[in-house]
Amino acid sequence: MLERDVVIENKLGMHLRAAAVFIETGNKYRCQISLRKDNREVNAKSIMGIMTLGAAVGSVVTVLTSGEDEAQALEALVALIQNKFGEKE
Amino acid sequence: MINLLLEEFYLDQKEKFSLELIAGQEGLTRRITVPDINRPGLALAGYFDYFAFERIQILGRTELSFLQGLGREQTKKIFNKLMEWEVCCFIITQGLEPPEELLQAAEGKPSPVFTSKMPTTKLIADLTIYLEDKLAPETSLHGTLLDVYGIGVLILGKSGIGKSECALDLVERGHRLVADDLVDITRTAERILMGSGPELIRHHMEIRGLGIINIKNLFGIGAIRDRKRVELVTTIEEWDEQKEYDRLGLDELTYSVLEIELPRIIIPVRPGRNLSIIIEVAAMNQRLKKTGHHTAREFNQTLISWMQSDER
Repeated sequence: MLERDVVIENKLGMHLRAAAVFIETGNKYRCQISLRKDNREVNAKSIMGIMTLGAAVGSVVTVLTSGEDEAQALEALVALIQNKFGEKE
Repeated sequence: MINLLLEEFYLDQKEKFSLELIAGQEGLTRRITVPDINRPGLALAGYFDYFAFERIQILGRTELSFLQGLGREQTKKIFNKLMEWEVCCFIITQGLEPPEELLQAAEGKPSPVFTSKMPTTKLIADLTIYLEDKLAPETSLHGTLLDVYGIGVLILGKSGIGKSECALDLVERGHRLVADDLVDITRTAERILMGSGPELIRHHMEIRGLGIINIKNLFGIGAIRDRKRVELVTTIEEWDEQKEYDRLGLDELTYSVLEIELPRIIIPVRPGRNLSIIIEVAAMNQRLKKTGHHTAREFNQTLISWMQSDER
């Protein structure tokens, strides 16, 4: 299992669209993916799960991957968050 | 381990318990780890063989008048001895004047001293309720919780198996949604499992093809509830031809949540099988069992009696 902390940088935080893009990216991989913030860890393939985190701009989330392609998935997902989910700001 | 930061306790509950911090501020970074409360009468009398130092220590009129009788020298000694333990914190009740010896002993020590204007018994009662709630063991499960005919039914199953659709069907039939997708469960002091939805997504659902919907706005206040005791677990899974499913209902399966065993049923799905009706009946059957009727066992008993009787 791999994990890495990332800071949410886009202005709106992990809102619905961002979560959808995150899930879409995660679905390209076969490994188990979860997200953790503070004490809560959720399945990162569930929109509602991600919403419960309320990950606003500036907060730190941990991406956790486990399974055959965990390394690639972690890279892609961390890059996606760092690229502000493809949003302008 | 579940615990509560003393600082959080103080800042959040200052008004409710009319607390005031008067010494040992350094100790606010420490944590309350047990929901129990101690009145340190025996410790003040010098008995330290068993001293529940990890609990909140309440000093009321009884303790303070006892100390007055001891005299200043002895009081000082006792408080210095108390401070050798990492006492969670002290609360002096009824707005009584805290003994000077305690404040001196607490100076620079990690045990905060508070005063409260509340009467001792009331404070202990309210504090116990608050701490038991705050320090209750909790967990989160991926699933859906509904109130079906008064029974809290937790629906579990793989993502995409149709938990939310089934819940929607049940709401449509007049039952109440507690939480969808993520259910937070706490174990209360009475060993009851209470389920609720995380506040941010409460009473919202995600339905493939529809997106996010708000059950409260769509179906009204009668279609939701904020929390509900979990009493039955139903696991939905794809019909496996190789597997034998329960056809009798004689044996009881269980599912363990926070070390509590809940009755559990496994429902295999196949196109054309109406899940919500099966869950409705499962809930009713559970109520029947609670009133002392176990249909499968009663049926079997009648059958056996008939086969053994002479009238046959």
